[in-house]
Amino acid sequence: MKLSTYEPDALAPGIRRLSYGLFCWLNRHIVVLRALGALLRRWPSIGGPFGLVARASAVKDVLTRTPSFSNTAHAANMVSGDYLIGMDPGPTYTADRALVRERLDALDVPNASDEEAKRRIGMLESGDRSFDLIENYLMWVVFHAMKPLFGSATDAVVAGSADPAAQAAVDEGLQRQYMLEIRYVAGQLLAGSLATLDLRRRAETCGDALQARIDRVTGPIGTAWGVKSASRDIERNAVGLAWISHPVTVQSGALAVQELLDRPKVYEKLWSRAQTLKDGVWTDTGFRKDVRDHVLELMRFRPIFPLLARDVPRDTELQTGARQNAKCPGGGKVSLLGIAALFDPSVVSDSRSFCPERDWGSEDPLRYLMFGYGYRQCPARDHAVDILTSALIGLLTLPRLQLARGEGKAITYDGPLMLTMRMRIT
Amino acid sequence: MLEIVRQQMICIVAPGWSGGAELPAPLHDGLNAFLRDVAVVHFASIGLLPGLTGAPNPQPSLVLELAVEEGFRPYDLLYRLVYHPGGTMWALFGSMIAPNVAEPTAQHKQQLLDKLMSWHSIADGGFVGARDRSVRQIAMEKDLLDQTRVEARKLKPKYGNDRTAFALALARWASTNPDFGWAATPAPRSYWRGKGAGIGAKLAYPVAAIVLWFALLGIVWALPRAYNWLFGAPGHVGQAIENAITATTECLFTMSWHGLLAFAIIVFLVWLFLVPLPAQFVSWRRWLNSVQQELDRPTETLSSLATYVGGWIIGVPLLLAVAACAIAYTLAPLAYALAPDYMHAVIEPKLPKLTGLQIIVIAVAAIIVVLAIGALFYRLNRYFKGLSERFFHPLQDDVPRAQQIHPSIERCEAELVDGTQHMFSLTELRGPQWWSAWCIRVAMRIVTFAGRVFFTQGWLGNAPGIHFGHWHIIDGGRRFLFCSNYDGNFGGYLDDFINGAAVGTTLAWRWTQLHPRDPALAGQPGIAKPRSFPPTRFVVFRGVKCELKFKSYARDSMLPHLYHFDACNRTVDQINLATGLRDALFGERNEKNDDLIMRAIET
Amino acid sequence: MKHAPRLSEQSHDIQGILKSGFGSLTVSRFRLLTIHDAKLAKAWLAQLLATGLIVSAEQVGKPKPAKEKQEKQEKEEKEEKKPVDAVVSIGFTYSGLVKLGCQETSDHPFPTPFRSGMGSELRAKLLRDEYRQWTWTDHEGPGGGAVVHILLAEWRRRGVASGLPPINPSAFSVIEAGDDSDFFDGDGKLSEPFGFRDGLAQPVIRGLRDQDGGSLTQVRADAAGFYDDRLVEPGEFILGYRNEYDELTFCPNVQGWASASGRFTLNGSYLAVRQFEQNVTAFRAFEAAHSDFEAANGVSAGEKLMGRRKNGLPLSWKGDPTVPVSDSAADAFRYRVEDANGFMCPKGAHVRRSNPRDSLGIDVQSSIKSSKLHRLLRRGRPYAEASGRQGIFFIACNADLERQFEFIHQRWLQNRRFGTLESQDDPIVGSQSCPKAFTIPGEASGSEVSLQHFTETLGGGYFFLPGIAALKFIARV
Repeated sequence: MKLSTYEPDALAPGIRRLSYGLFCWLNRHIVVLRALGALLRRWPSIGGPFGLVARASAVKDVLTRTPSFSNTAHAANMVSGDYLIGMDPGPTYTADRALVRERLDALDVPNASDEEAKRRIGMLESGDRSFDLIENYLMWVVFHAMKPLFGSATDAVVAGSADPAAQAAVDEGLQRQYMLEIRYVAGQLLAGSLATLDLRRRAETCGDALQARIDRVTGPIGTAWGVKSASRDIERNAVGLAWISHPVTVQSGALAVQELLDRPKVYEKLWSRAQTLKDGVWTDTGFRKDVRDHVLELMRFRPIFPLLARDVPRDTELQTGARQNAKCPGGGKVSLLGIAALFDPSVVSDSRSFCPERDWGSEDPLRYLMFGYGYRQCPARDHAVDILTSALIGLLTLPRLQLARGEGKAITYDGPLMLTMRMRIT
Repeated sequence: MLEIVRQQMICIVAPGWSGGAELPAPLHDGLNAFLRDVAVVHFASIGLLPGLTGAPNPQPSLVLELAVEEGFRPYDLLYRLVYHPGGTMWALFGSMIAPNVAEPTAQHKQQLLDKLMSWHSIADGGFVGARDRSVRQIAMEKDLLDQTRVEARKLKPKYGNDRTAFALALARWASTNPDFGWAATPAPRSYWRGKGAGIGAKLAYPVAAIVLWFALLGIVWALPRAYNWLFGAPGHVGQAIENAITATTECLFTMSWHGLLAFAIIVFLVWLFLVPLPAQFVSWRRWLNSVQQELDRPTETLSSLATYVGGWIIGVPLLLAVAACAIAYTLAPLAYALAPDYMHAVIEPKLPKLTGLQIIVIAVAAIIVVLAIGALFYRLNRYFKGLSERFFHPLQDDVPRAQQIHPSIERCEAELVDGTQHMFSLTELRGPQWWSAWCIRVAMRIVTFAGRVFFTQGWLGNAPGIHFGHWHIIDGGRRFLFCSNYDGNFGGYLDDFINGAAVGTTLAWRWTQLHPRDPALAGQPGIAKPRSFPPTRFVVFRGVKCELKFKSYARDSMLPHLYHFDACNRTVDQINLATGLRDALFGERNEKNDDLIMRAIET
Repeated sequence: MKHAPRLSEQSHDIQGILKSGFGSLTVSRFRLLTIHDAKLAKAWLAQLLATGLIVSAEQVGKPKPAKEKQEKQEKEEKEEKKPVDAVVSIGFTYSGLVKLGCQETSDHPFPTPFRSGMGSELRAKLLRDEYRQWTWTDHEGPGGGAVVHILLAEWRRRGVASGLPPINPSAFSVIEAGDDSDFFDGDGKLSEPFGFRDGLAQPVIRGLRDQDGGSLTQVRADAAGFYDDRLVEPGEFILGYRNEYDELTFCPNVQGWASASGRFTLNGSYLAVRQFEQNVTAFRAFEAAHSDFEAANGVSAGEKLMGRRKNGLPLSWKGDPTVPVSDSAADAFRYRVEDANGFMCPKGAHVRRSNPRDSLGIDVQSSIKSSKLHRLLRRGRPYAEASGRQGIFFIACNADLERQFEFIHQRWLQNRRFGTLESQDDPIVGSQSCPKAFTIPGEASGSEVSLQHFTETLGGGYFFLPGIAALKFIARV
């Protein structure tokens, strides 16, 4: 059982709402954040004293200096207990990381994601021409692609019960409910310590529910994983894997599609290629590679974490790129504008234009900055990109898509989190 | 800003309860296990409300009261409860959604959630004693306190005579105990109980609002001037706009400071008559006290009646006159702006022309006259003793059926005698109901605000021991439900209200009455004769001060609970003590903390 | 509009017990009667009334005259009034009243606690009596015991014979609580079996002061400004008058009662009665076992439990404790300012629990005000049997059983979380299972002692003490 992370709001009423509102607005209007990033990139000495880092070189520097800039900044986000992403290196970290790698090796992407994408597309085609991208499509593609994470224990996790009868009763309704639950736990990762109390509390309740759910099925999970670790270790990893893998991928996918629909020409080009390929879309490796490049470029324009934070455990200096290094007092935090680094003209050629086929050369790892950088980069980045590629290919096989405007907003948000994205097949 | 408090207290009123007057034992145990597992619910109670008079469905409604930790939106909370794998919510409410379904499908659960959302209401107002503590925190801090006591018993022979060494030894023990790693950070405090506890933080908001308002006026006033400065003299239209803006902002500015000044003078006068003058003049103090006493007097006397009538004849017109002056002074600039000629030609000659000195003399004379009148009354009473004895002697009064308690209510109290007590009270809104509902809401918001911002130490006014007390207007504004979880017993609790929070309680309840109603089920209390809340004077006086009437009103309005859950079973004092001990043990070693530890372990 | 009755005009109808503790009548005896034959019982009551043993407050002493005349008049009183040699007070349980033909009216019924009776199961729970093994009670319940109907309390001057009319066994069966007992010393001071001065902290009824304790001026002077702390409105003890809420106390009524001045219960009171047997040996053994405590602290551990010195002085007494002072001076103290942490009088001590004075509220004034809502007029006496068993026959007069006796018992004495204490009830009369702990706060650090039961409750009940007219009515109906 985790200890309570609940803390009453110590900020004066009004200030929290204001700062959180600003944060959400920036997240939704990524262009503003990009402009701000450009400013700080140009004059890094402005951001330095505030611990703001924008240049690609500086961002990479911070992300690779793991002893000086710690991942413990995630503490406020980890509502369902500690996990890899918020740990400092150590034996637990190493063991957990090895376990994750092993679990990821079990994934069968893009085959599994292709298969589910095909199935879902089939269902959408026969449906009433309007659907919710997240609820009716992405959620499921990602879920099925990631099933091997829990392997034979998936149903047990979804049912939250080691009882075979309960597992047999697992249907889409239960699966959906499970995915909604983990969504808010992950939502906290986006909102972080800025989140308002009610959001934090919701994340905590869902985190509690997730923990309780996993707690009941550590046996089946251990069997599925073929490990004999202590149930506490299994629980920590299972909980972490559950909430971090699925919702983040789904959000990234939704963001990518949103960006794509904002670029009609790019969409048109890709779509017509898909239409000409007909059934070959799923097998054509060239096309798949292009789509993959598109996915990455779309994610560059709308990264899921445009801002990142790191803790500063001890006094150090920050190489912001200004003439003088900025002082970083221990106990503070630094903020990284990942979005600014992704558009840094000094490393990305023609950075402002949408160019999937860009040659990143030696800076290729920077392309994946939304997954982190260096040793602490997300170990599942390639899997995630593969899954999203499958999902996008699937969408391209449909007749032309557009956001379902008209009745209310097509995209609804919950803070920085995208809840629905209603689409129409024209 | 109040919603965060209000949504801590939720009532779900589900119509159509077909079960009996007792919950089946498995459901009872299931609820206990379920609420423990969810671990965010402080208190939960279930009761039965009698059907509304005249409603087609005579079945009682089931009411589920939840008092939860801070910060939950009702939907998120209910979502968690409905989708809990134990399925207890379905066991409780399922029969009202789809009868005879033991295992609900996902669709059923969604239906249940939707229904609960439509049945639920967050408190219209309420007070929470230990608001910023979570269930787990209370449990963990209790554990720390208990274990510290045990450890202290062991260390006592060695350090008993040296407080500093004793406290140090305990602090060392606590900080090296891995079970208490969580306690190393200071107990979290919400803003109004932590950083914002001082009066400065509270004043900062109105002051900031005033400053911002004047700054805004200044900016708007300056804008056309800045434009002119940048781009040269404006044209026709530009000039007109500039004039309009200038006139409006200047008028608003004058009105604002007039209003502020009027407000300040009223505040000063209130302060003058209630604080320094009573301190200086005994007769004024006694007279003031006696006026309050007479207005509050529960049993009618000639003196009380006379004061009431005097209040209407003198007090109310006087207050209205002061208010009218203040309003006129505030609105005068507007009148000058709209009809300057009329003001100059007609109104001004009618106003007396006084110098500042004359005004001061008149004001002082008025104050002296008021004081003298008070003193006169006071002396009259003393000199005519025989007369005043008649004058002050109570008139006969009849309170029928006082001090009667329904056995089911007493049984509930007996059940909880070792723990936190609980009450449900159901009354009906007085007609016109929309007006009563509006008044109650205003009064409740004020109480909630005061509880959130000012009464942050677990006391509401002078009333201690309230964990969660909350009021709901239910059934579309027809009925009024009060639920409370409190330390002590019912009588003592109401005594605390009568003595400690009379105005708030009167304001909350004065708009209600009791209609005859049948018991929800056999064995539960009903109401035979209609009854109204004890009469009040000038809205806030008397009311709850009529102990007999008030208590019997409250008693008759009560409903027994079928189920009661208390996550921690600690008194508010114990909760505060444990939090204090945590901060003292892990805080700086100084005399204050050392002493606090010693006091905590000797409880 | 008619005025409510005035206390000064009604003292002829109020039983003397409400005015005085009869300090000069040192011999006492308590009997509990169960009615077998209502007719015979009434006849006996009439006989008793005829003896004149049931005295009114007027006979005990005149109600307070105008202030300046007070002293003079008191002297006159003493000269004029024949000293009373023997007094009897009589109270009835609810079932006793019913048995004697008094039916409550539907508009003015008796309060629920009185009607349900102290012996009932519900009250056992509400009063937190964990374990009851009673010899007598007012209502059948878990404690067992004979159900009694009448309480007969008798006080006599030393050497005076009882003037009670003989009790006919076919009319009543009788339980006697102790034999004729006299616990007064040569100076006329009462001590209970553990050796503590008793009857000190009594409320003073405004307008009906017991004149045993000396002149008003002297008492006021001795109380050093704390006199008002003990001055309580008459309605807290006598039905039909203004109480601390400034309201007329509720008067129940019975059918057939017709009187111009008020209802049946006017001038009456409720008595909460408990018979405690005191285990003197155990208490002495406890004190002996903690004799080192007394040596170190100057007060014995037993005195810490009780919260007072044996000679009646408060534990926080600053003068020389061996110099005798008046009762009024001995009772003039508060806790809040001088003894907030209980270094002198422990927070859980018996007297601090039963009358927390100014310690529980948010400030002195409001605490005093609210503790006056929970005061009892104690009229019990210690008793002893020939067998050597002794104890206290506790009688508390109050006008609202729920707000006074039951509140004090449930929330203060038996409350294990009184203040911020943890699992500790009253060290003297608590019902928690033993051994139990008792904390004695100390400045460096507190200490803890382990307790046994020092008292055992043998019986209890609620009685209604009627006014004299009402008593005549009962004997007549």
